Amino acid sequence: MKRLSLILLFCLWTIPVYAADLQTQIDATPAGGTLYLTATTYNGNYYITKPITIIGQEGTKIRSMTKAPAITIEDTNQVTLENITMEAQQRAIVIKKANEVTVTHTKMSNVNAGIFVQQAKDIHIKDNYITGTAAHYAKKGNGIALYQSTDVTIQNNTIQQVQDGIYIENVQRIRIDHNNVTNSRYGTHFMYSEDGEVWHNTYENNVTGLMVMMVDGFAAGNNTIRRHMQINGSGMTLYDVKNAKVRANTITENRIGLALQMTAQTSIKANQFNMNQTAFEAIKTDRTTALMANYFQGNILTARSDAKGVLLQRNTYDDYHGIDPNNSGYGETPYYAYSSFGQWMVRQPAYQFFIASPSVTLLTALDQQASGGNVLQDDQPKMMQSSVTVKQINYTQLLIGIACILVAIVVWWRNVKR
Amino acid sequence: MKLILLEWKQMLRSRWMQMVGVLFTFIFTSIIVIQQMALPATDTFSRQSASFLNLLLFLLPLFILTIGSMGVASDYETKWLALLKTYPLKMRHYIVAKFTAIVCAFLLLVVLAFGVVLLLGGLLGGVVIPPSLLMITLLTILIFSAIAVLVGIIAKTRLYALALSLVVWSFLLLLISYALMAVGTVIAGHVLQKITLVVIHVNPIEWLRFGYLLFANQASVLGPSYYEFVQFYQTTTGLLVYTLVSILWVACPLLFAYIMIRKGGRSA
Repeated sequence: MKRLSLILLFCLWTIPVYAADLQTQIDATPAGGTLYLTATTYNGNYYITKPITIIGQEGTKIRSMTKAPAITIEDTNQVTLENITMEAQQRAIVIKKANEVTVTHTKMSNVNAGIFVQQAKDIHIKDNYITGTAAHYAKKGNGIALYQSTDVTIQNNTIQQVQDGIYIENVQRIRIDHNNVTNSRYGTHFMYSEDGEVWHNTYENNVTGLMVMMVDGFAAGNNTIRRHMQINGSGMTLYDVKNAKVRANTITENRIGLALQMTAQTSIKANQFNMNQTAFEAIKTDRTTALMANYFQGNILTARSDAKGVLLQRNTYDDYHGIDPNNSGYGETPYYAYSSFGQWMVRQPAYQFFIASPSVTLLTALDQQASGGNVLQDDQPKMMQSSVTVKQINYTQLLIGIACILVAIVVWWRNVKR
Repeated sequence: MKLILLEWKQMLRSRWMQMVGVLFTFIFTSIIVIQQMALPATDTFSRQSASFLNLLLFLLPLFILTIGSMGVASDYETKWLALLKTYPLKMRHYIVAKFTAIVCAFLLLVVLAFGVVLLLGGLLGGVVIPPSLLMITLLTILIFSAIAVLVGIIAKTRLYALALSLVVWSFLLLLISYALMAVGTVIAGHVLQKITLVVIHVNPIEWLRFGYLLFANQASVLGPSYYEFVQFYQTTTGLLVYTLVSILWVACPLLFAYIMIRKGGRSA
């Protein structure tokens, strides 16, 4: 009997606190008050409908056992959630018709979707860690999804393995900065939104880093966008976008660095396009879209476009062969980003098989000699400053190199000797 | 074995081979080292890796075809082959010896070129040579050495062998691609895609290029039109098919060469 009691006591000790307990605590906390949670796992679905601050600690976990969200914040204002780990089959946090909500230092692992925000205002989501599942993109939700909301800040979050890292639809005045989104479909996905700003984020190994669709008024700057190499991937895609500013981003090792489709009145300035398969592609984009003072280095194809082209001004191209006789810093002859092959590829994707093939390399070299008056022409290309970084000697390679040379010479010499 | 050694020595003693060795090493080293200094290292398909690959596909087949085929044709011209036939030597041994000698000679040349690249690259802080590039180099040597033997046997004179090699080289490297691109302007995209798939298998240059992209895990560069094709070749069955087709690309020219040398036995 004593042993049975001990076992029962042990079980009670380890069983997590039930839903009613946390909901009771929330209900018991006065409006504007702070609820401190212990290092306990709370199983259930909780509702916050009044101003409250909930602060967890190391080991505080809220787990939704059903498809309902772990936490729903609705019809209220001034709510803060801090330092809580969450698990959910579907969404971890839902914020609906709420104002002045802050979600910070939460951790969501293996969730279908992280934070869902709808018809909310003054939302701050920062320093959160969201990891989705290993399922296909179509079978999982977004890291942070925002609909019909205004004045949103999303800052310093780490998001991975979700559908879209940050999905924005019909949102006005949103600032996204210092986030890191990896291994997802789109890093950040804008739809029908106004005055969005995306600064200092890192997008890596997604299908597309930054996807902006049907947006009027948008700025992206100082982002690092790299390794979007999947079959339909691109570093950044602007589709039907107006009045956008893209500044000082580093766009590296993507299938297409920047894809412009039906884009107008957009300025793309001082970005670094390095080692992309195609640095930028312009389709149905007119000359109100300008690429200025960008730096193109090591891209297989600098540009491809349809007959409309885009405006190119004062960019630096590592494959420009002109000279600068008066030391103005700009080349004397225009740079032609034209490539017949690039244009064919836009019209007929099956041509892409030949990208960077020997035949196309030769064709592109001929294009450079023969081009004139085409739609991808920079009249004042900036001269490249030569910068060779001298690194430390790699002795392993050096020794292998010497060994290979000696073997080859000795073998050759011994056989040549009669 | 003796015949292989004899042929191998003849290849290495050839002035042409020696000049090509120096030329190949110089160009290969210059381009790789310049690219290495100018561009940051990356393991994706960049202009740097495209340059490496194109350099290999431009130069190596050209040199192998010309030198290899002229070596075989020279045996006809100088009556060396006729002399060999007076010995108890089977023609398949002659073909295998010739093929092995060309392969070994060019392997030595590539070892020299990569050695110089590593030496200079090491001095400049290290050069990245992707393993898939080494594999494709080896496969290029094997396939084009086999074709070179066939071209030499068809040509029978050195001048004709040189001309025929240039025709084969330009046809495989440039003309087929240009013809396909031209055809693509008047046919539907899906038809172009299917013809391209056929061309990949029947043109060793495209086969090697595709192999490089496949093994370097960079086949996405080919675009969405070839998604299913790439997916297939990334499976175990696909890899087996790749190996099989590559073996056929070595075996078939040698087999044809054997048939031709037997048919034209008396004229040798």
